[in-house]
Parts: sequence; structure tokens; C-alpha cells
Amino acid sequence: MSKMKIEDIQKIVKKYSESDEYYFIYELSEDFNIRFSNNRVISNGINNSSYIVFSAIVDKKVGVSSTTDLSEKSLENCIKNAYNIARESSESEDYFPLPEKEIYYDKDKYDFNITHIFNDIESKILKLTKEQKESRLFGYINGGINTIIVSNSNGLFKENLIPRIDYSINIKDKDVKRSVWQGKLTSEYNEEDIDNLYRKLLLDFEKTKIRKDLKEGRYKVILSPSALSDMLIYMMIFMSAKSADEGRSPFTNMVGKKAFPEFINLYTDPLDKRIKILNFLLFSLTEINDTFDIGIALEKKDFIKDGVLKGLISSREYDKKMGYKNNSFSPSNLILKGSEDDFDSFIKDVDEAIYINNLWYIREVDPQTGLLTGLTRDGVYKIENGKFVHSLNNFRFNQSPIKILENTIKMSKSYVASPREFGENIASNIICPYVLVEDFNLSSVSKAI
Amino acid sequence: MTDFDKEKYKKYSRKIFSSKKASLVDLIEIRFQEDLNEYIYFKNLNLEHVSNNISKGFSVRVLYKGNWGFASDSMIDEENISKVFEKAFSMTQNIPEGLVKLTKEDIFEDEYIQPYLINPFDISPKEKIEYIKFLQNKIINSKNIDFSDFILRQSYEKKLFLNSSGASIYQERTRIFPEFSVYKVKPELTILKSRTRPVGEGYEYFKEYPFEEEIKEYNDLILEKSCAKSVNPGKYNLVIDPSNLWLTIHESIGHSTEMDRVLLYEANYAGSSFATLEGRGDLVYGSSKVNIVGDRVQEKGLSTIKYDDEGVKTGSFDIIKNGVLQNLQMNREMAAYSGEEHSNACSFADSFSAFPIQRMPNVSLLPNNVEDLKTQDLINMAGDGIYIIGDGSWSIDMQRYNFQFTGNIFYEIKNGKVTNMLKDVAYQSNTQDFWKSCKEVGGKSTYVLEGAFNCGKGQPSQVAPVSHGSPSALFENINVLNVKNEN
Repeated sequence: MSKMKIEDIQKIVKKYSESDEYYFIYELSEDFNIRFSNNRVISNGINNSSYIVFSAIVDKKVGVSSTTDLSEKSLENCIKNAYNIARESSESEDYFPLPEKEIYYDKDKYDFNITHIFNDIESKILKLTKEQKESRLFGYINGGINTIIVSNSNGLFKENLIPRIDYSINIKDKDVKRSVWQGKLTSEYNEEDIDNLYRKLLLDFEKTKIRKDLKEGRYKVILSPSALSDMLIYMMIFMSAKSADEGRSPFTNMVGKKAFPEFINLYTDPLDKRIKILNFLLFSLTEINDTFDIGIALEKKDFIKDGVLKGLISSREYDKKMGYKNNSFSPSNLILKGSEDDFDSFIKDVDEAIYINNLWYIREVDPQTGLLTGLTRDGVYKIENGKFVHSLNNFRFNQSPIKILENTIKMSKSYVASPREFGENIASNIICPYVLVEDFNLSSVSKAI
Repeated sequence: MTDFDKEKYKKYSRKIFSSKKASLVDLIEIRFQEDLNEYIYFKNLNLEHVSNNISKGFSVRVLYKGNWGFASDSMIDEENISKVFEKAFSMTQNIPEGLVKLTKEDIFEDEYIQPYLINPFDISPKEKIEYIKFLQNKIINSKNIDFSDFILRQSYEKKLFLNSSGASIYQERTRIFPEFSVYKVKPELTILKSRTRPVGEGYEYFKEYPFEEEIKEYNDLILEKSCAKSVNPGKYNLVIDPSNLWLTIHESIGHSTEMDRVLLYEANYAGSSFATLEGRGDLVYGSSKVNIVGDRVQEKGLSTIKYDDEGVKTGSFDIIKNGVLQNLQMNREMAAYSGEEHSNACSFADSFSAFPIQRMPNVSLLPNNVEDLKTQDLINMAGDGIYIIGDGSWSIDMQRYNFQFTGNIFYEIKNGKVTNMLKDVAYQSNTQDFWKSCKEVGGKSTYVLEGAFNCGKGQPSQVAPVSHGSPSALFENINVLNVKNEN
């Protein structure tokens, strides 16, 4: 991203902006993707895209317009359109003056040659797919680098470079009776990653050679970081301070209470280096109007500390109105602090449990209790005396993420998770452990592989 | 709206098609696309968000020795189209010969604009905002309603598709989806969703919808729902209204009869299907009452269009006849692979930068063609059971067997009569078991076209609009859960 280009955009914005308050988000991305199925590449792409979102604020009224066409004429139309909408809009009850001047240029350097990475990955995938004799390889690998800039009328200017490679690999036997999955989300391209992931995949595939059936019921389960991360992302969606106050959330009347075991510590930390994330507020998955906070610096904040719910997700305006001090802006990551144990140490004392690798098709069932439903996928195993003994059928679960944390009895150390359901979302930055959870409701059996 | 200079884009594309490199490849497709979306969101009387978004650009897809190469860019100019073509072409080089073959299809030069009365984007945001505020005012002044939110989604799509075989197709279509939800917090959280539907219509749908009557009715309905009896879990006969059944059709039949799932294209992500190529003409999906069609020409359908994103003319086809699987949804590549002579025009790309994938036509359950049975007739037949209206939560497994759905409103049926309201209902079943338990379907007077504004699939993920028509229908002996007991 050349500085000149953003300066040009800023000039155009200044030329056509008609009020004292506005902000814009500019995103420039260069990415690749490769999708393979049944031992062959089925689609691919190298895409350059850019867009600008302009938010005009006139007398506490907001209008938003965006475009992918960055010609001056199109930007002029976009800005004028935002002002037209703002003028025709109604005053926002959530109005708050925009964040003050603060300048941040991302100094991280990334050597991301998209075409080179694509070609390298494609050749590795072609080699692996060719090797398959009795099995079928599937997957999707995408990556790229996003330059994200927020700038406002107070002089705030924030730039983040977000590099991402997201690996998702799945192997099935010829008859599609066995299936396992491995994924990895990373900020760096490492030529070894695919082979390492593939090796792990084959080790998991071995564990599915003996398969037994198990009936539905409430069981003690181990959730992998991938499985837990999808549930934690859903939990984040429920974490609006305002919804809780309105009685429309499973967190209603929970702030300040010790609702979880002492060892549960859930927090956000934009400086955690395990995966590069945005260090300013860009958007929210949670139902909170943070329009007037866009670009504000994100900070380390506790959500659950020693089992006590410390705060939820909010905006400056709502916190000021309610006098809240402990809430966080919508976070770019969620970290569930684990123990010191690696996976082998964690599992060795587990006498009996069901290991769940992925969760899938997760949907809200009851917003009051936070009940979610979904399926287990690509790796369900019986654990006995600390060992994988055989694989199991899949299940539909009905379970709330809050109950999962309440019923957690043991954790491993934390890992960067690769959420199966929310995989492509830029907000899906979850660092969490393997957890051993009691009384997990596997509501019915699924025949799906 | 921005300038969408069709003639200029055609000129640029023809230069590519007549280039030396073009003569080396099997097919080049160039698609110019502009998507205009407007979103208005009110929470009570507060306008939380209003935005107007334009996505515009082009993509080039190249088929060379059985492999696809695909690239896109948001900057449309002659030089850039040439660069993007080179990029797509280069992706097909230095790799072993692939397996992609395409059916031979007729070539069209045509223009199509979906019929509508009022373009939603010809109406100012002000008019929409004032109208929604007026409605929200009515809602929150209802004594039994504590909160309300209102969302208005509108889209307008322009596509110019050209290929090196000579196709040149320009199409426009629009769609709209207004919806509101009302909340009552005590004694426990109760939510009711509006009966509005997403439709392939213009602004007229929004203007003509009887919001005020519905709001008046909802004041009493939400009180009744909040005091409703919590359901006893067990096996029930279900009479399901089209406003709920559309989603079950979508998930259990619409997705399971997509050929890309059957061929495992989606196996790493959205999932595959229990259906098979060999199952066509043989696989029993449901009872003889179950007749399902795929249709891309149905009036006001969200998937309705004249040509798909490979330039194939759309139509309608049987998916399930008398309970037996007949056809799967295909694009050109899948049709060729499965030995079909032609695609049934189910290719779609949700934006200029999206690789076109196989997506759903409007998939609908046909009404009873013998007798125009009313919903009350089905309730009589049910004897004891539950009448389910409106959609709620939904989830289905990765091969489309096990599903669980909730709903918006539930009534207990006793001795063939609707009695008191129920709550906390979810029904859980397997696709074939469920459709085999379909005892009867209502007549055409009960048929309604519902649908989804944004159905997700694919990697990179894409969304597609799709409609599902259905009559009311009776299902026997279905497992019902109490969602409060499940936590």
C-alpha cells in the first residue's frame, strides 16, 4: 500500500466532505485461494480488491456509503451519497464525539508475494493429491494481506497490515466412511506448514480405523481448540452489555458474579503476538452500536477473571450513560487462558471422555440461555485412560457456551485455534486450550460422515 | 447507481477474445458485475445503521486443458482486463491436465430485466426511514412489547456475461426483505418475528405489506406466547405452515440435491449429501405426497433469472416426483461429469470477484393437485399434535441427514382443533424419515413462496438469494424437544 495512494484518497475526502465529522475505512487486499476436492483442484483465484466505506455525520445523524470503485468520480459519489443519507437520516441516540487524533502506522513488514505463495501451495497440493491411493483429499487454503486504514475528521489515522494464511485440510477414505480434518490459522507463510498439517491429518486418520457406535446422552467431552473456538465466537456475539441490561441475553444480571470455576480467565489482548490482529476497533460481531468508536485503540481487558464475569462488550456512549468502567470495545481476539500442560500431559489423566475435533452448523436456539445447536464433525473419538481407543459416530449437540465454561474441569495450555465454522472471518482470532467438560448434551446421533 | 457501460465492456472483452492467447484456450468467460445493497436497521426509535454499498468490478475465468484459472479486479479498464486475463491464464499453466469438461450449450445474445414496479433505489432513504420510524413508533407503543427492531434489506444486481463462444448477456434484478422482531422481556424473554418474506420484487412489496394490522395483532400474540405452556417433549403429529416448512425444504432437500455436494465439491466446508448420482430415478426421499421442483423462472422468486452465470438459459425441472429423486441441480461442469447432455442452469456468483459455483434454483414443494385441502383440513387429520408457524432456529448435519428446527409460533392441536399456544418447541428428525412421514400436503390455496435472502456456501464463501414455495403439510410422529430442557 503506497502512502501516496492514501494521501490521494484523503485529499479527495477533504475536498468533498461537507461536515465537521466523518470517518472512512479503506481496505486494500491481495489474496489467493485454492480449493481441492476428491484429489483434484476444483477452483482457485487471485483477487485484488479495494473498497472504501465513508461515514458522514451531520447533526448527530449518520449516513454510510461504500464503493469498490476508487476513481475520483466514484469516491465523490460515495461521499455525497453518505451525506445525502445522513441528512435524510434521524438523530442517533448513540451519538458520541469521534475518537481524538491519534496516528499509527503499522511498522511490521511482510514479504507476501501472492503469486509465488499460490504457486508453491498449488504444487504441494498437486503432489499430495497425486499420492492418494485409497483415500480422498479435500481442502481449502486461502491467504493474503489486507491493509486496513481508518481515518477521521479529528485527524485520527490508523493503519494495520493483517497477513493471513488459513489452511483447512480434510481426508476421507474411498467409501467416505471415515473423515478427519486439520486446520491452521497463521500470520506467516511457512513452506513446511502443509506437510506438517498433512502428517497430523494422517495420524488422526489412523485413529478412525476402528469405529464404534454410541447413543446420544450427556457425556464428559474434550473439546479441541477448534471446537471450543466456534462456541466462544458465538459467546462473544451474546456479550453485548446493552442486551444484558435489556434482559435479552444469557449474561443478564451476571456481571460481577462468580459464575465460572476459579481457573476460568477469558480476556482480550491486542498485543498478543501469537496471531496478528487489528489493534483498533473496526467492526463488531456483537449487538452494540459502536459506529462512533471506529478507529479507537483496543486494549487488554478481562471478561472473566478468576471465574468472575468482570465486563461485557460496549461502546463509549453506553458506558458513559450507565457509568460502566470494566467493559471492552468489541475485541479482535478472545483468549481463554490455559494451564501449563501440553496436549499429551493434559490427556494422560483423563479416564474416560469423548474427544470432539470440530463443531459444525452451529445456530442459536434460545437467546435467553445461550443454547446453541450444531453437529460434531471430522473426528469424534472415545478416550480411555488417557488414550484414543476408537472413533465414534457424529452427534447433534444442544449446549450453551456459558455452560461449557461453567462445566469445564480441566484445561491444557492455549493454542491459536482454527475455527471450522467461522474460519474465514477476520474476527475469528481465538486462542484457547483443549478443555475437559462435564455434562455435555449430545442430543441425538447423526449418520453423517 | 454508477455508470455500467455495457458497450465499452463488450469492446474490451472482444479484444481479449480475439487475442492470440485466447485462441489457445478452451473457453474464456468475462463477467462484469455491480451489486448495490442498502441496509437500514432500527432498534426501537433509534436508527442504528443506514448504509448504501456498491460493489463493482469484473472477473475472468479461463478453461485450459481441463483446469480453471480465475482472477478478478475492482478496477475496470482495458489494460487491467488484459492483465487479469493473463493472471487467470497463468494459473492454468505448468500443472497437469485437469478433468474439467463442459456441456455444449446454446449461445445467447440477450438482455433481461426482472419485472418489478418500483426500483427500491429510486426511493430516497428518507422516505424509507420515516416509514420505518412510523411503524416502530406503533410497535413500541404497544403495551405488551418491550423492544423492537426493524431491518430493511434491498439489493439491485447488474451482470454482463460474455464468453469466447459468443455469448453476450446483460441482466438486472432486484429483491427486498423488510422484517421486524418484537420482544417481551418478562416473565421470560419472548420473541416474535414478523411474517414478512424476502421476495424478488421491487419496493412495492414493502409499501403494500399490511404492517399496521400485523403490529396490532402482535401486541396480543406476544402476550399469549409469553404465557404459553412449555411443550412436553415426545412424538407429535405436526402441521407445518409454509412459513416454517420453506426452511426445512431448503436445508433438507434444496441443499441435499445440489450436485456439487453429491460430487463432494463442498465436502471440506458446507458438506456433502446422502443423495447420489445413481439415486436419480431410484432414491426414495419421501412419501408419494412429496413432489419437489427446481425452478429459476418462477415469478417473484429470489433465484429467478433468465440465464445463469455460465450463460445457460434457465427453466424448471423435477427434483422429486411422488417421493422419488429425479434430478440434481447442476452447472455445465457437473452436468458433463454426470453424463447429462445439458446443465440445468444452476450456476451463480455472488459478486464480481466470486468464482461461479453451483447454487440453488427456487426449490419448492408442490401443492396437492387433486384436492384444494385447507390447513384446517390437515389439522383435522392430525387429530392431536402441534401446528407450527414461522421459522426460527435451524441446523442440519454435513450430509443432510439429522436436522433440528424451531419456529415462531406453536399451537397445540387437540381432537383436530387448534387450542392453546405452546412454547420451547424444536423438532428433530432425519431428512428421509421426515419426508416419508409426510401424510398429506395442502392445496394450492395454502401455497406461499418464502425464501432466504442470503444462503451461504462455497469457499471463498458466497451468499445467494433463493425462494421456496410450499403448501401447509402434515407430518406424523415427529420427535419434539423442549429447548429449555436441552440446556
